[in-house]
Amino acid sequence: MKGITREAFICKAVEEYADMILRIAFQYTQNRQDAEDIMQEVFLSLMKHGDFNSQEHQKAWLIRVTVNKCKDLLRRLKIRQNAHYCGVSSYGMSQDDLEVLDEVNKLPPLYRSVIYLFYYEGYTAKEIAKFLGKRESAVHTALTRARQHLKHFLEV
Amino acid sequence: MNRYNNAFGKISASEQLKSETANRALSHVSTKRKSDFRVKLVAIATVTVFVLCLGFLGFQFNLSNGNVNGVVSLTRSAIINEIKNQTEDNPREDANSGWFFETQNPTTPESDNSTNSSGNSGNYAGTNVQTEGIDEGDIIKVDDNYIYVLSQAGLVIISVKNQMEISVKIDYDNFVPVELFILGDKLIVIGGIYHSFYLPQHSSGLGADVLNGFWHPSYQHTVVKIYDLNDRKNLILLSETTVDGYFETSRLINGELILITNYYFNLYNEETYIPKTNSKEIDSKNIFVCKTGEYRNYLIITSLNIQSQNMKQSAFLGLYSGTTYVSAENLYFFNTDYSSLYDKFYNIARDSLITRVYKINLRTLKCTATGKIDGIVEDRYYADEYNGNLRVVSFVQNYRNWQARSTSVFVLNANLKVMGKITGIAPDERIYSVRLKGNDGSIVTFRDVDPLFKLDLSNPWNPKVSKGLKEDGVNDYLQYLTKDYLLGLGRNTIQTAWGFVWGGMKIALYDMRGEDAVNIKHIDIGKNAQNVHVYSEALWNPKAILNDTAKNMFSIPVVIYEYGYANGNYKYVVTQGLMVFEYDLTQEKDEDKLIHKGFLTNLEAENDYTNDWAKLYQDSFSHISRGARVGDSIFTISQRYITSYCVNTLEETGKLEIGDFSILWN
Repeated sequence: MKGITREAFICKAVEEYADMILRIAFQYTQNRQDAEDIMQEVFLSLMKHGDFNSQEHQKAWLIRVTVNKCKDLLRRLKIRQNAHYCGVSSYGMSQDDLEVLDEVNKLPPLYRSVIYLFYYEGYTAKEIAKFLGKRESAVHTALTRARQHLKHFLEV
Repeated sequence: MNRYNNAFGKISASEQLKSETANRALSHVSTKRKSDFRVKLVAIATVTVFVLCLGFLGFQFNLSNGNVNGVVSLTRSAIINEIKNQTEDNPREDANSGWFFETQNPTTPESDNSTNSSGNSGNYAGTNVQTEGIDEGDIIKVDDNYIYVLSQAGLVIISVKNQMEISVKIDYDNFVPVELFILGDKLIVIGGIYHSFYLPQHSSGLGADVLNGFWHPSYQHTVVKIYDLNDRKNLILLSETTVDGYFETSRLINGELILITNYYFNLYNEETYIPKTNSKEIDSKNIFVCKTGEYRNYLIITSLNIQSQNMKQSAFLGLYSGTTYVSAENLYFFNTDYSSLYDKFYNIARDSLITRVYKINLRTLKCTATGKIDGIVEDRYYADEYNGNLRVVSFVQNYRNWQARSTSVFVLNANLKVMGKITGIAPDERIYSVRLKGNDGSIVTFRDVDPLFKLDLSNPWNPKVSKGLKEDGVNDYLQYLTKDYLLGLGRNTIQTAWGFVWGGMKIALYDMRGEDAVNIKHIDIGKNAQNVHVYSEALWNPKAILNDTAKNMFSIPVVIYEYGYANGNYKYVVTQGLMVFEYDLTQEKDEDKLIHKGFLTNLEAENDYTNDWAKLYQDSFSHISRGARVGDSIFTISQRYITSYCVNTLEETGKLEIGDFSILWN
């Protein structure tokens, strides 16, 4: 591995996946600072891991690592349950957007990531089950309940 | 849904955060590396002290014995046991039965008396090689003033400085020369010693041997002769090295001759189990066993320094040369594992074949890595090493469904682990030619039409392939003239009601700058008709091509057969000679970038052999097999003649008979 290709590899990965990782991390930590820290940690792990067989494999791996790192953090701190979205305003969110986030926040963390991966990243329930290490039926349950809860946001 | 997406879409990493992240990731790895290095240093120091202590205590302990996955170093008796144990099921015969060889005493070098040396200014076109700087042996070689030819007449050296004349001619007895090299004032001839053998009466072994997949080729010793060239009228044989096994291939890299021979031992004679060099057994320290479970042969790699005559050797039990690719630093052997296809009941167990890759360092001659890829690697041009990564194109045939076949591209890292790959290129088709150069590559596959695929290998984790340019015919040889222009040499096809038939040959120039290749010039060689057959050695042996990059010329030997009934009479007309093409990529019009410059022949332009078959035989000795260029002259070389032409006008300037074959037909 030459320096130049290593650089190109990480820059390409950051360009493509930084936002996705940040969003997933954010749903767990509900805190901008922690989410950004986790994102950086994820890319450090990626650098250590190196090559992948395919883009899809790489993306799935990144999601899995992000979720694990978030869980670790929450386990360590055992806080943030009632914390509100700190530092959200600097993402340029309107009152309307914050309302959505508040509603999403009422869901358990698993539901939040399920709904994000399903609606925003467009993964199937089966794939999500694999990323999160849950059974497919659990993902379906989470989806149904989250949908009921967020009905008026998802349908508008 | 929209509101949800809107809200989450706004969470995004700023550019500053992204670059910070990338930098942190990169710096972390480099600092980690440094600490790794420090740890390694301490580890190496500790281990060295430990080994020295062991050595002091009288233990024999070899740290760098070259053991990697599946390749092990054993003692002499362990090697013999390994061979014996695999043959336990076979009926063991008396060691004296089976095949016998008449041993030959190699001729001793004559006394030497050397004079002044000759220089090498590069005023000539060398052999057309796969990788620049790695010379490949061939039947002709040139230097500033001489042409060296191996023919049926033996070794002939022709002075071409002023007038062509034979400087020296050597007939070999019981030695079949195969390839030669020139290095400064040294001439290297590689060949085999022929052995006669017979089967003893009491042995019913012939069928059994063949059934065991065990047979002896007709010669078993490969000889490297090194001559001093200071006096070309009186060559001095400096050294002769005899290696067991028949000749596979050779390279000349930085003054080191790399010779690869394949030695089949006699399963029924334990004395032949260990290969010999100059009648001395190879030290078991330098023998490695590739744990394939079935042992019939050794692959012997000899590295011989031409100036100092220093020799290094390694022998690998159970390794076949298969496809051999040599880079400047490593040797790669691609061994197709046919046994992987079947289970123990000979049912097909897998979809496709596996190829095992062995990487051998050229300096230490030790196996540094082994790897596995899907499919088979059929030609050395299908592999290429760049920046320490090996790129391989393999052909994947599905053995459960013969219609299903495709092409794969693999990028393997220094440890032969797959970094990136593309699978399923060109379904239903077969590879015809590949050329990989730097970050670019091209693949030609074929079934009915020829797709020419362009590869982008700049990211080893993610190689890319283009859609492919489809055109009639197929390319058998590809060459990058520059990064942007590709030359293809191949065959035309003629579409008929029941499929295609092969037509004449063609040469084409492709513009590779776009997303896909564009054919900008196409020249037919020979008429493209069903009663015409065009053949050239260049279709399968790139060394037959005279690739003169200094003069922008590209020449190939061709034979054009035209046959069939015309006006009720059968006719058989042959045209044979060297086709000379010239390219100039600076020309404005695409039409002018590649032109057919001329045709050089020792015979008539068309030779009618309809009623004179004896003449066809006689003329075959004048068929041109190679072209050469020295200074401002272009030479055509056949068994019988060397003919010279002016490189600019292609006018004949001289002709010399180098071998008299009239005895064969009188």
